[in-house]
Amino acid sequence: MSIKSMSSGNRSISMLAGQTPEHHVLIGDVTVGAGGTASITFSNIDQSYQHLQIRGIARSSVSAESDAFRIRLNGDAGNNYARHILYGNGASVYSMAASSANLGTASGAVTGSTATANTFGVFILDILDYSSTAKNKTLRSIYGFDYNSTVSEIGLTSSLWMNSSTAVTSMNLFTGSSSNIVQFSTIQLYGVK
Amino acid sequence: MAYTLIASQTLLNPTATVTFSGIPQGFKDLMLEFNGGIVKAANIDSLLVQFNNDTGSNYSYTDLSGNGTTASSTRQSSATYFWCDVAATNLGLSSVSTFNVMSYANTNVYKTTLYREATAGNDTEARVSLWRSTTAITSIKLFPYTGSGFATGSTFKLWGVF
Amino acid sequence: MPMTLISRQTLTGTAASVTFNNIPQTFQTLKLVVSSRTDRASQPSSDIIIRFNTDSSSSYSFRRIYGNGASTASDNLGAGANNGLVILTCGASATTSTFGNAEVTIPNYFGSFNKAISTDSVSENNATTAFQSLNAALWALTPAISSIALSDYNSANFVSGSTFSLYGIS
Repeated sequence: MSIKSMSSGNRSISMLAGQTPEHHVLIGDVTVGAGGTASITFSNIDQSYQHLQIRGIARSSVSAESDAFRIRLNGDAGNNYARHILYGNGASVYSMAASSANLGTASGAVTGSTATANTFGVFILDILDYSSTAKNKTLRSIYGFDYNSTVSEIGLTSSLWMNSSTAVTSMNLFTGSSSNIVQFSTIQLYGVK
Repeated sequence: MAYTLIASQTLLNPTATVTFSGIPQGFKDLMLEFNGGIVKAANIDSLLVQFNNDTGSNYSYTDLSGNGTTASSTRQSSATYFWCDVAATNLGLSSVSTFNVMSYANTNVYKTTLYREATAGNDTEARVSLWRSTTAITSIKLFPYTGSGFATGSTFKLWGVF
Repeated sequence: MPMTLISRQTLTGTAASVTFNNIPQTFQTLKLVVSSRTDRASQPSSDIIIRFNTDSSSSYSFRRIYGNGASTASDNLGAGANNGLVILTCGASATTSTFGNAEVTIPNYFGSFNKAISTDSVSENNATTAFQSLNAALWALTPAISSIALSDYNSANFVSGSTFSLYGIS
């Protein structure tokens, strides 16, 4: 590939993938097929990493412009989560909280079925020290959607899974409305050394 | 390997436009990092971004911003680029911006970019932008809004994330 | 060339500060990933500061936006601060066994220009009050960064179980 510049004398480096060990590794990859899916699951998560990162784009089939996107760890449906969010909607800024909840947040919001076609919400979620058996698990996610209208959102969320004695071995991701995740939504799970 | 450096440029002279073209299509996402400033006799200018030489009104964005006094959020629709604040000459090479272009090669979706900007002398922002095209992204053009060019010493780095 | 773990420190007791020395100069960007908690008494949160190369001169500044679960704000320390305030994490009154989650990005740390820093950080707590923060900081000196030190703004200690991971991205 090329890098173009309007001035001469700039130093450019073009590199291909090297052979040194990688400490940020793709360990799961799901793309939703035709008909959508109720949830996306990563199970039997490799315990040899220090952190997990989930990167994704998603859209809900809910009959609305947006939908929350939730996460449940190790199938725990008890009131063992807390959630907080800081976000802007293009007009105002908000900060909210939920305690003793039964779900965490993967993304504050993704697009719904009445959003412009082909638009998806995006997020990058980090779970630190996921294999610890001495710490509750704190999740951090930056997320956003925009579909060229008066409805949009950009924000930073946090979630707490109050289970200090158990490593994260599985995760389920699904919409807040329990509607389907639609085709072409795609989510990748990375292990970080 | 998840992060692969595709290309990198360090400016030895002020430069009006920086373009990454012929972007390989084999990754999931792109991550573009800018560190530097813009040549303009002011504190702040803007860094503008266009994909695939599209100069049409096919971009929109929403931001979440803190300027040290006030938290705010704004949006713009049907724009001809998306952008973020960048330090100009008075603030030196003091901005860092990281753009995550999600599913850039996916021809079934419009392209959404999640990005962060940090300029300690001005503000910090998180932004989301939309390019209304299902075409795979093969080039990224970056240029200043009113400044004459990116400042000497500014760096641009493009990684593929697989 | 990938993302590489340079060094990790995991606390088995309290510590007033955590330092990474002799940072290799061979990467493009540094990322510092922090899961921390302090013993700051009676507070659900703590502010963590950063210093480079043992510099405590008036060469730092920061600006941020944050939410606390109920309201939002933006504040700053302008040019002339002796530290860069970068991370909001959990203090002693946060839910037991709960640690913050932060990522600090430092591009061109080896270069001969001022150093810009971008941070996303959160604390957590099973109550209304917890913090989410987007932060910009600047070290307005030009030497390459060879060491990074983190400590608590209010002189609290990091507690056992806190982890600090320094990565280089090539």
